[in-house]
Order: sequence, then C-alpha cells, then structure tokens
Amino acid sequence: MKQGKLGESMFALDANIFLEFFLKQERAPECKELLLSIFENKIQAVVSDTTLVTIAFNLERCGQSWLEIRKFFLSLSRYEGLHIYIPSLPDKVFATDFMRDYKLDFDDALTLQASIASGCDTLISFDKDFAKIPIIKCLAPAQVLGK
Amino acid sequence: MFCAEKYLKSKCSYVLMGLIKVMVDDATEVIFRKAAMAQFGYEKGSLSKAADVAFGQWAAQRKFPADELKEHPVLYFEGILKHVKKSSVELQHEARKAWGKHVRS
Repeated sequence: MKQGKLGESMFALDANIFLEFFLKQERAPECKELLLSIFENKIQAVVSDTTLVTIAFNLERCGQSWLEIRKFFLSLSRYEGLHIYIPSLPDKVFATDFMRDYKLDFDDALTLQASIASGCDTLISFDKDFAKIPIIKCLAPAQVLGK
Repeated sequence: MFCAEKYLKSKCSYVLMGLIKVMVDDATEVIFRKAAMAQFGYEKGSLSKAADVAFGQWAAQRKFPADELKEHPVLYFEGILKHVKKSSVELQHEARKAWGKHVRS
C-alpha cells in the first residue's frame, strides 16, 4: 500500500472489481490481472476507504468470517501500487452535488467524488451508472490493461 | 525532588516533542496548510498539531506484523465468494440496500 503523491497516471477502483474476482465469474480473469498489476506496482490505483467498507460488508453478508475480512484488509497493505483515499467531510458534501446532478445513489456519488479528489480521471468499474457521467471516464479492467 | 521533565515541560511545551523536517510537494503543502488552519485555527502550532495527527494515522496503518498474512495477498481471495450466484454489481447494490435496512432497524 502506497501513500504517495496522488493523481499521477492513477486509476480509481470500484468495489465491483474486487467482488468480481472474489465471485470468480466471467470477467474475473481481467480483474485478477488488474489486481496483480496493482499488487506489483505496474499500475497505480486509488480505492476509497468507503469502497473497502462496502467490500468488507459484502464479505460478511456472504458468510465470510472475521478472519477473512481481516485478511482482506491486511492484504491491501501489501499492494505496492495501491493508495487508499479517505473521504473527508467536504467530500461527502460534494458527493451530494453528484447525487443531485447525475441521479447517483450516495455510495456511487462518494466513489465519484473520491476518484476526482484523489486526482484520477478514470474509474475502473463494471457499473453502468458511471458510463453516463461526463466528468470521468469509466473503463473495464480489460480496457485499462489494453486488451 | 527536582524533576527535569516537569521543569522542561513548564518552560516549553515543545521541548520534549520530536522534531521532523519534511519536504512535500507544493500542492500538498497548500492543501495541508489550509486543512490544518481550518481544523486547528489560524494560530501558531496548528501545522504541528495537524502533522501529529497525520503522521500518527499514517504510521498506524502500517503497524501490522508482516507475517500475519501468510497467503498471497491477491490470489488467496480468488473465488472466495464463488458460492454466491449474483453479479458483482448486483452484490454491491444489494449491500447498500441491506446496509440501509440495517441502519434503520
């Protein structure tokens, strides 16, 4: 896990990238390659703290124990190219602008705000709700990997 | 009995504090100064107070024992939820609704 200057060729990550890999579904291979690239610092990415809470909440809902959730958070500290952005109170206020302007729910709006605040112009996500947002590019992992 | 620590503290509250000189990016300096002043006021010591919080939080994130996670940090989680028959986006959205219900109940 890195704590460097944000915004230099970095991508924001949505929760569904991790979840797709955990579910091992159709698009898991591209998520796996992306996560390994971030782990090895070939790609720099930012994930918001609230996104991590969403993932942990999903792990718990799907029957994983405290130990797996602990391991998940511990694993993040080993990603060489991963930055964790902690949304501030102003970020949460600004997120409500996106709720109003783009009809997003709060979680998506905060993901968008965290992405912008951390200097990313691209969000990696499978969520089609982001495709209509003009202020950020939304790409799938395969597109980021150049496939 | 003379206590050097008490004496020094009475003379200057900063005497027993560590001194760290750091160089940061210009943009980082600007946002850090603004945030520190907003939080701790436009007065002497605000930057030190903010730096104390920031340094402490940063270090706390990294104090885990290196050997606590023995598995591969990425590959260990591959398919950990493969028993769940929902898409990743569905799961994410349902979690929000469930969280909302959990908070309201």
